[in-house]
Amino acid sequence: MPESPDLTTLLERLVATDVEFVLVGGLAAVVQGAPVTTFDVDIVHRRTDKNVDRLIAFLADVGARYRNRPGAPLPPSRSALLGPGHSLFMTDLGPLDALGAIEGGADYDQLLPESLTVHIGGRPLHVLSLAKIVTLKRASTDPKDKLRLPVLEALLRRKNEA
Amino acid sequence: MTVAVGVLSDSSMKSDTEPDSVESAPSLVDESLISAMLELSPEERLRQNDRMVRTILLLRQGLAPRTEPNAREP
Repeated sequence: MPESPDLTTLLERLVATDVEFVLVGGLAAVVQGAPVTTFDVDIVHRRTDKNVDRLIAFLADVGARYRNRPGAPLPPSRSALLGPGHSLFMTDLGPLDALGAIEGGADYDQLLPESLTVHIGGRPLHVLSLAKIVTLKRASTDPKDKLRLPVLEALLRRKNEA
Repeated sequence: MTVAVGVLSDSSMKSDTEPDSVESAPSLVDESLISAMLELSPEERLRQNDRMVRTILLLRQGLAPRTEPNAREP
């Protein structure tokens, strides 16, 4: 982990590229107003050849290497990024998880219609909707998700009331 | 990794005599934190998260040397 991670700049730089992705996970909830703290950027990227090539170019720019792997740092694997698995990177700006698919096999094409668009640095960012995040967390068996769920549900309730 | 910072407001802490059912329990969420976050723009919320991450990491770094001697005790 960098001494001073800067997930905002990491996300701004990613948004400034032509990489197609949907922001998911804790940071997607933060963007929509959840009072939670998250330590990484989670994205579901579109798994086409061109988009993965653009993503790999971005990853090289931010010094991405696989996390939690002993030995010499490994550069991002094109074949892994084309698949549905999760590629967990450490970058010069903080952790970034590139997810081919998330719960239930949901990929970029399935999640994009369930996202909303916010603007970061003047550029559009697709963010998985809070309603969808809550639905996914309700089905999750991860204790961390269970802990976070009441906050997300309260936020969703507030937004629905507004 | 995500930390839920809005859970368990002081007013929601249960006593031993309070019921256990979820339906009758008070809210476990500090609504004022949600209100504060909703007043920010998406970019401000991201910056706020970064500040929290840095603070947590600083605290962890500050805590680490203090816990090492105790860890060696039987």
